[in-house]
Amino acid sequence: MEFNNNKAIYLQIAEYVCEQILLGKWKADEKIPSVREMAVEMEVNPNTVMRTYELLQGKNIINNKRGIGFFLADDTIDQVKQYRKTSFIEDELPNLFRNLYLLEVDFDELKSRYQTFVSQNFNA
Amino acid sequence: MININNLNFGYSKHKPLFKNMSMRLSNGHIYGLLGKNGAGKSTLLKNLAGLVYAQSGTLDVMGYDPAKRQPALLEQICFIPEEFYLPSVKIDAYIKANAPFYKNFDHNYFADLIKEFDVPVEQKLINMSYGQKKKVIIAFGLATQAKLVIMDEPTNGLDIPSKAQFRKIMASAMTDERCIIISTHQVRDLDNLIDTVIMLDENDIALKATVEEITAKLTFKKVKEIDDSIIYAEPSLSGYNAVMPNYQQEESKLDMELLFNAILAEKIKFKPLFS
Amino acid sequence: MNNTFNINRFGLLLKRQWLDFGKIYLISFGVLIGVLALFYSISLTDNNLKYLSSNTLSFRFPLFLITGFLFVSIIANSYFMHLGQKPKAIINILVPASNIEKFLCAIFYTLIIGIPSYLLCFYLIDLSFISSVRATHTLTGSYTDYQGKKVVIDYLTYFFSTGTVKNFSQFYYVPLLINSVFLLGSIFFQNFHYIKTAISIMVFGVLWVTSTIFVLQKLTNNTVWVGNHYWQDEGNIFFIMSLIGILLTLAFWFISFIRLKEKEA
Repeated sequence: MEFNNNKAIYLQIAEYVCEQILLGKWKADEKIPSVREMAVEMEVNPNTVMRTYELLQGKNIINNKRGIGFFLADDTIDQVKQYRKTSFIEDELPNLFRNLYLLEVDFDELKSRYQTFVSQNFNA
Repeated sequence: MININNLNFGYSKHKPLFKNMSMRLSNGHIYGLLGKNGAGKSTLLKNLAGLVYAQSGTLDVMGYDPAKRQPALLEQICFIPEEFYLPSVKIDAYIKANAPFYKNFDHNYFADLIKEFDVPVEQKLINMSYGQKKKVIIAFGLATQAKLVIMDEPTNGLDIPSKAQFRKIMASAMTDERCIIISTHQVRDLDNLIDTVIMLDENDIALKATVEEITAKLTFKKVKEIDDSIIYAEPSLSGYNAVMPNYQQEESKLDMELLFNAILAEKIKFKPLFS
Repeated sequence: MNNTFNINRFGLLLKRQWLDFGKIYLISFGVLIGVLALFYSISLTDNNLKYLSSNTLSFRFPLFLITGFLFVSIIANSYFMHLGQKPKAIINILVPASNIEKFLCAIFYTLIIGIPSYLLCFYLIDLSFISSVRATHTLTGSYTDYQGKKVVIDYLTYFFSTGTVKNFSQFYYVPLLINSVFLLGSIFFQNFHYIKTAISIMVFGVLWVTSTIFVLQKLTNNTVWVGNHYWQDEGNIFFIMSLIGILLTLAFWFISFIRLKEKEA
């Protein structure tokens, strides 16, 4: 996998896992690749993957069944969304706010643009 | 796994390479050994394998003194030197002659590695390219199941696909019983494999810290302007690549090259952070 | 695990070292056969055999000594040669066998295999040439001994049955000495092992002989011998010389072993 230089590797792997879940490639209750398999696939140190899995376990996205391996939680999609939402609010929103403030973007304008975007892209 | 205590070493009496060096290495890690040319990376590795002898100090590798070159320790060491020699025989003959010395030699694993590395089995070792030979000794060394894996510039001479294969192989070779030490100049080839950085400078260890420790204390990022909080910065396309104390608990990616240059340039500023 | 000596591991080491050393050994052996056969065939041409005399076969003594010296010294000198090159030294030092096993392996190939194989080679070549000569020629002489009996001498004997060879039993240790010196040279020097060893021997030899002569002259100048006759018996002197030779051999082997233990790469 290609990593970028902005974020710790273990977080980038966490994002990869979340993406697999949101894209439906990995399904709830299923076993996910072992630490070693993941490390080989990502070409990283297994300790790094271990750190990722510990993080995801802390967020209730995956469970460790002793002796068997790691499994996705049954409500894994909700947990992923929760996790992504938190990290969006913490990491990306401040940047967005900063730009809104500096460029004096009006909230009403923002709202209408948001609605257009949603209807164009998601037909909602 | 390894205990180095007050090691003094020099190829001549007047030019010491290591002065009172002490360090502990444990299993379950991939250590990345960094240092300028001539800082003594290869020499430290050779000390660990008992290929050269310290002037004073003690070295304990899995309970043995490597200088005694006892078979019980030697069969637990996989040493991949930068320059090496292989006899003029085919892989089969080489394995037949050398594998029996290692009780745990895994022939299937060796065959898998050779296949994965795409090494021609029918060719004589001596006619192989440097990169192919290197793959053979890496495959052999890992198949011995040795607990201490020492590699001096392992990615030197490997082509681009082989480097990716090498990273995969090392990721799977890292077990809790193993201690892997890799010296390298090509930091970018290996930086995601290394979990602990050891940096040699000025006859001693300038830094030994896990990637986690380093990124907890330091943050590596692109900045537009340099201010006082920055310890070290290098100009880049869109501003600077900078190292600064990690005040905001940011989770940045360790930039090993930047760290390397930063420590060489600003040793004094780093001392209090890692001690 | 026995870290000093294990017979299985020693066996493995012998097999492994053959991969490295076997080629050098076989080439040397091939050259030896060629050289011996060449010398025998040019000395025993039909023309030479026409004028067969008791001197016709005397070429064998210098041939035996010179090729013997060269073969034993070259074999011993090549064994540890690789340790002079770091990449080869590293891979050899790291072979999981003990220092003593590695040293005994050297002794095995250079001494236990090296010297008998030379003798056997010389014996067989001598046997084949001499027996073919004996099939077509005879050369005998005779003399009358002190009891008045007539003794017949066969001049066309095989090399190892000549009286000369049998009379030199006090020099039988010499091949061992050569082996030990050149083995040491092989591990002591980093490159140009053979030349350096040979020069060292010459320098030491000259120093030793001149200093002995000098000291003995100083000691015996203007003196008269009044002691016992021990030093006037040739046998005693040869005995002392052999003793020194054997002690030197053991010492050189021991130093080689220490050097092997301490070899760095």
